[in-house]
Amino acid sequence: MAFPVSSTLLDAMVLSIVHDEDTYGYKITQDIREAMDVSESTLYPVLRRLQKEECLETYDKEYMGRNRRYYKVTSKGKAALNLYREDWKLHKEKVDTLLNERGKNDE
Amino acid sequence: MMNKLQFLKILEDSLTALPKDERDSAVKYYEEFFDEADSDEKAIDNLGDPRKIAEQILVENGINPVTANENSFKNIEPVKPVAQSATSNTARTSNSTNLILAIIVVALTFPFWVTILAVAFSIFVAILAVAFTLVVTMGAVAVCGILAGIVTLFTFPPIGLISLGTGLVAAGMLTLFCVPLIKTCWKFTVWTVNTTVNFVKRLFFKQEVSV
Repeated sequence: MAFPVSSTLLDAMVLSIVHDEDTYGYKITQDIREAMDVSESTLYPVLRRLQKEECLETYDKEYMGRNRRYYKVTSKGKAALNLYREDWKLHKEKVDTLLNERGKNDE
Repeated sequence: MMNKLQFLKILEDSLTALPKDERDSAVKYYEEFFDEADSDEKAIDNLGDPRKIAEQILVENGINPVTANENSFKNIEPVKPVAQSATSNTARTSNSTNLILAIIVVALTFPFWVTILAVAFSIFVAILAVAFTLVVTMGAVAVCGILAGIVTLFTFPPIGLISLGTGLVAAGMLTLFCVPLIKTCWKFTVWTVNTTVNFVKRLFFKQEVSV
């Protein structure tokens, strides 16, 4: 993708994915990679930071004889996610007006 | 081509500048990555160089990867002693800055805590004064009541009896309440003095000791 991924956007998407359902690092990485071109190692610092900011919590759950570290959204994380969603909506509308609405005039 | 263990070892060794729990958390995360991937080779292909990954984590933790790597090269043999002296050095500087900060804060808030201390002292004195007044009043009523009662008993018996009775009641109250009251006051005084002394000690001496 030609547009660079901002760390804010990553934070927002990670929160959204984990908010849907508690999940683990590898799965979050794969989900994000479906939408944008980030390397496999991009997500660890993001997850760690969200954890330190108390937006995410972790717990270990056994899976096939080993531990998987699951991430869970805290109430603070939920609040942050709602703010991100509103901000994104505004941002998207503004970009759309600039990028797409003007494009229509050309046709 | 490296395997999972080599990858994790390089990652861990490149993160020596981090506290242990940070390091363990990162290693655990990437270990899990290997467990989820179809094969170790595929995981390494996707993840890339563990040193690059470590750099990214160091930057995120506010550590300059270049100086951190220099340290880890020097530390190949004696990892722990050097790392420890480095951390205790930073601890020492942060302690002395803490002391300076504490002094500045104490100086700046001088009017504030002097007022608090003055108010606390006034309350303390007031409580003691009230207790003292109660004791003295009670004692005076007892002595005067009994003496006056005895005298009046022979001139005007009813008033004498009332006076004597009041005096006796006061004397009874005095002995009933006075001893515990004085004991409590004494304990309260000792406790207040001790707490104040300890608090002041902690405020001024603890930081110097820990430096």
